[in-house]
Amino acid sequence: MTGFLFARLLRAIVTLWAVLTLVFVLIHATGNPIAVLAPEQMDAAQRAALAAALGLNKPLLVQYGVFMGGVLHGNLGVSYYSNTPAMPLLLSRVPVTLELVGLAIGTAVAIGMPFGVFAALHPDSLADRALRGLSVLGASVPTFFVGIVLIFVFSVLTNVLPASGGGNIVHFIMPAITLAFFRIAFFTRLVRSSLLDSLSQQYVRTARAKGLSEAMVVLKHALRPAALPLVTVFGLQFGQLFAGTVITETIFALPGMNRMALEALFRLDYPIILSYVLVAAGMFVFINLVTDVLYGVIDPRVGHAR
Amino acid sequence: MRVELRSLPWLSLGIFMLLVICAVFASWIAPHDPEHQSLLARLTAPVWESGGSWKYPLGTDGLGRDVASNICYGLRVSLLVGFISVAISIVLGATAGLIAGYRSGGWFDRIVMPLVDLQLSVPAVLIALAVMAMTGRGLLKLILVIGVVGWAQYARLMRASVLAERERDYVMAARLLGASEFRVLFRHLLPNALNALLVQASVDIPRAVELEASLSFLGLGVAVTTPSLGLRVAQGYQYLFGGSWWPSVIPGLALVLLVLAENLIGDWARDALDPQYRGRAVRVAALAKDA
Repeated sequence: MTGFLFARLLRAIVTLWAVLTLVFVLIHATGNPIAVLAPEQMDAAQRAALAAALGLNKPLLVQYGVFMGGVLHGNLGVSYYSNTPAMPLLLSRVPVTLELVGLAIGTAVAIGMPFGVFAALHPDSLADRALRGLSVLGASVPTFFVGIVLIFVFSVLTNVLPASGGGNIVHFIMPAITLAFFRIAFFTRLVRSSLLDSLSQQYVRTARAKGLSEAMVVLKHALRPAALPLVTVFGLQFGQLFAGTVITETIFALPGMNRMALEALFRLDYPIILSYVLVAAGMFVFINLVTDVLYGVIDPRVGHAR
Repeated sequence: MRVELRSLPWLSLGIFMLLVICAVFASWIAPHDPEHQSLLARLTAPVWESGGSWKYPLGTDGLGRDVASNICYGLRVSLLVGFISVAISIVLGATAGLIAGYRSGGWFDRIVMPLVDLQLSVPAVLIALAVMAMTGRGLLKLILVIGVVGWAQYARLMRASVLAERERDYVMAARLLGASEFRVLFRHLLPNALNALLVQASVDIPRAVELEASLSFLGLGVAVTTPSLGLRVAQGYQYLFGGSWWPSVIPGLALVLLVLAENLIGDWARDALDPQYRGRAVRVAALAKDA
């Protein structure tokens, strides 16, 4: 177990390093921030002074060294735009994003799980087929359109929920549903098919033969192995979910880290972009690690002997 | 392969063909130039609402552009992006997978497969977003970016198929007959993976359409003058609060219709083309892979 964890941790660090290096190269290969930052009336000397002040005039390799050293200290420079340290600025936006993601996952599981269990216990019933139809629809509506329809119905037509802003829990209701929309359908399908699969296994027959109640059989014996693909997919889905938050935060004007990163992308505010990449990649790697460990906890058959 | 006519998803195919016709013949079907702004007729309601007229059957947006015409031309952009970008993904991915599988364990394989894993672990949206933000907007660039970002799944499928097939007798026979490496790869090993590649493509085409719309919605897709459905939704969004829902909701509905039809056709194709996907047990694996 310790060996496994250590190997995974090492791989996580290498991944982080690779991603950061890639982004550094990409950034310096594509744009010149001075062209964006400097007002038009600035002359060449002033531009050079600005570049020097921001450390952009040094050789690339030196900039890379400074950048990597900064990563180790959690210091990624000062935001070109707001002139405050980039990392703390970005970190101050993280809780909003985490709250949004957490609420969305909670919503998706809370609705998708019972739906999926119901569909698996009544396969090919009318409700099952209706749920299947709905799940294809759920997969076909782009996140931004879900948000717009929700705003139209609940803010414009009926005025029950606020369309934008953050802070209050009320502001998170529509964004969370928007983000969860596709996942509800997805989790329903997933729980349904993996539960159907485990219901036909020997151990379920054994449990039934023991005379356990049907509820006990489903909840205790069938659902647990059925949760395994759920955990895997959850790890894989996290990335997608995270990407969806960019759109959701933008539509609902939530002050999360993704919206800040998107604004920084438009302004070529490199320290913010790099901080974002570091935080986002760190989250990815962390989630993957947790998924791997959870895997063994839920299904001891898997083990960590790999 | 025999396809039973009754099993075809007729409704989805019908809707899809209708949308394709709208897109292909946009210059004849669209009642107006999609870019033409008539400021006097701005925010005209659709024909069935009060204040609507047949001149603008689906109304006009905040700049007085005809919504129906923009949908026709927008569908053209969506379909172009969907098909061309996936074609790019297939060519890149299948070629890489073919070589990696044929010489598995070789230097090419050892460079490419970790790249595939890396690519699959980061969502395509984020990569596309970053590249578009740093290089600027444009339809051609967008198609290229979506295409390149989608290569990994095809490389993996192709490699797996080659690994399974390359030791088979018919490959050996072809080699003994003196077929060149190139011929063995492209005439014998590639066709065997075609079904799997097509199934993956049927999943990826609607996904590419959605990706284009999402990026354009965020302002990081096509140029502002290109009639894209996602971009039109974004531009119509501000008028939603004044009660003018049609400039944003109607293009969005057109997009949903297209993606829905493509998804349903894809679902059917998956069942028909790839026996692996048949039955419930394997579906889970398929779902997990899709994510």
